[in-house]
Amino acid sequence: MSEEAFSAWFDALYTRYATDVIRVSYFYLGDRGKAEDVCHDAFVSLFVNRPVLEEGSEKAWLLKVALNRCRDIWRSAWTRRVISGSPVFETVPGPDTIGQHMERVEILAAINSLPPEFREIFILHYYQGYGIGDIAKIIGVAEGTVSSRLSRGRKKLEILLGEGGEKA
Amino acid sequence: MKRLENLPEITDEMLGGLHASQELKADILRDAAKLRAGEKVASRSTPWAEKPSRRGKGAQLLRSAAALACLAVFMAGVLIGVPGLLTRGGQPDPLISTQTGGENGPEGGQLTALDVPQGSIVISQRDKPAYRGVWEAANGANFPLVCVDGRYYRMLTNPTAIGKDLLGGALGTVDTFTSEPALASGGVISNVVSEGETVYAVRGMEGAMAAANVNGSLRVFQRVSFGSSALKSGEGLGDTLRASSVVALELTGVGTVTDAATAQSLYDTLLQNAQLARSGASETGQSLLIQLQNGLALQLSVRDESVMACGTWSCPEFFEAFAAAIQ
Repeated sequence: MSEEAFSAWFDALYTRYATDVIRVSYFYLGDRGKAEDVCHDAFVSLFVNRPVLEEGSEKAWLLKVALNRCRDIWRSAWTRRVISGSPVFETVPGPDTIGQHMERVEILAAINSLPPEFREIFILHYYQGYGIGDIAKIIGVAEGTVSSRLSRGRKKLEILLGEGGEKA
Repeated sequence: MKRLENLPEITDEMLGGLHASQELKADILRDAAKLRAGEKVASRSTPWAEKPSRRGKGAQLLRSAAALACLAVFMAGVLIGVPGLLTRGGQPDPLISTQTGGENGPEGGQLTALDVPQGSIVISQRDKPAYRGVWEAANGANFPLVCVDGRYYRMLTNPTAIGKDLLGGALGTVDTFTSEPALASGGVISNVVSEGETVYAVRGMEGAMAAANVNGSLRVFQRVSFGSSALKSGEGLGDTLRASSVVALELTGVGTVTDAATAQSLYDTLLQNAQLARSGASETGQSLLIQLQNGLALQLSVRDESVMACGTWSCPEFFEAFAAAIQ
């Protein structure tokens, strides 16, 4: 790929997926600055490594790199969380939705409070719309593990949201 | 969970203020160009990296200042000898030396308690309780544990490895590794044993202890209360404190019994008379260490006339008998 073609390809991917990468990272970490940092690192990695990606798999590749970064941050920043306390998950609504939707805040906060191995699967499945097989490839675990975590995560959410009787 | 199906709309609406900016893109292109030219760029998403994150630099400075202040207070506490801040290394020498259990243990596997002859009863009075624990400390909110079918076991500091001759049958395989075991349910759960590792019973200690591979070593875990979970239906103290053969007891700040027959008799008194006071348990400044013939040691927290590990058990008879034994 020529430098010019790569530049156009990179621009297109940034326009199409960078916001999703930031929002997924924010969903995982609950920290806007860190989410932007993760997005930065994922796209720098794309630019520097220039992986050969099949058409349609670019977003999955970016999310895989981003979630690996998120996990690193989550694991190694426990001291900061212990000292300063876990960050409170705050929504960042657009200007036309500020001050609304407490119920929606509640469900986002509940997902954010799940253990990280459950949280990332929920984000990829329910937010980004990936199937179990794709999620297994992105996060590098068996499909059975993804299914199991989705099932158990739903039960945890029911408890967190007080929805014992409501089923999908 | 109908609301989950609407998560894309909910998220896009509630996080609608988060966008990938052109400023961020410019940063990416600049740093990528530097890297391709062989120049160094500080990782932006590595915690404790030199370069602070894009947002919240002020808050980060405040957090750093708070962390430094905490460190300064801690160091001052250590330097002036605040008892509560003493580490294990700052505590008096143990009265009972726990040792590697199983086939790799010292020949004879005998207890060493100061330099007194075997069979003696040692009385040790100190100015202040010298609490010495064998429970592994918590790393974060939860102590290192493994849970098998609702029974929780806490990792011990001693021994750091046990021989395979002490391994009993397999209790299960860890299917959930999580930093939040309180939120997990069913199966075999751990926050320290990796997924796929087998959890074993300890021979002769079934119900009281478990063992599993942690970072290449077979570590031992003791049955404890966790959250609202303690005894299972029909269980008593003996089911969670099963001891093969007791050879010594150490009660912090009171004394040590090293005569095996006396120690066993005291232990039997505890099992026969203890009454369950409540399911929960807590760590205190006093502990009862139970040294076993097989080289392992069990620990119970002590408060007033109660012992705690898996549940809190009131047993005045044991403390009276212990006091009588060391006189």
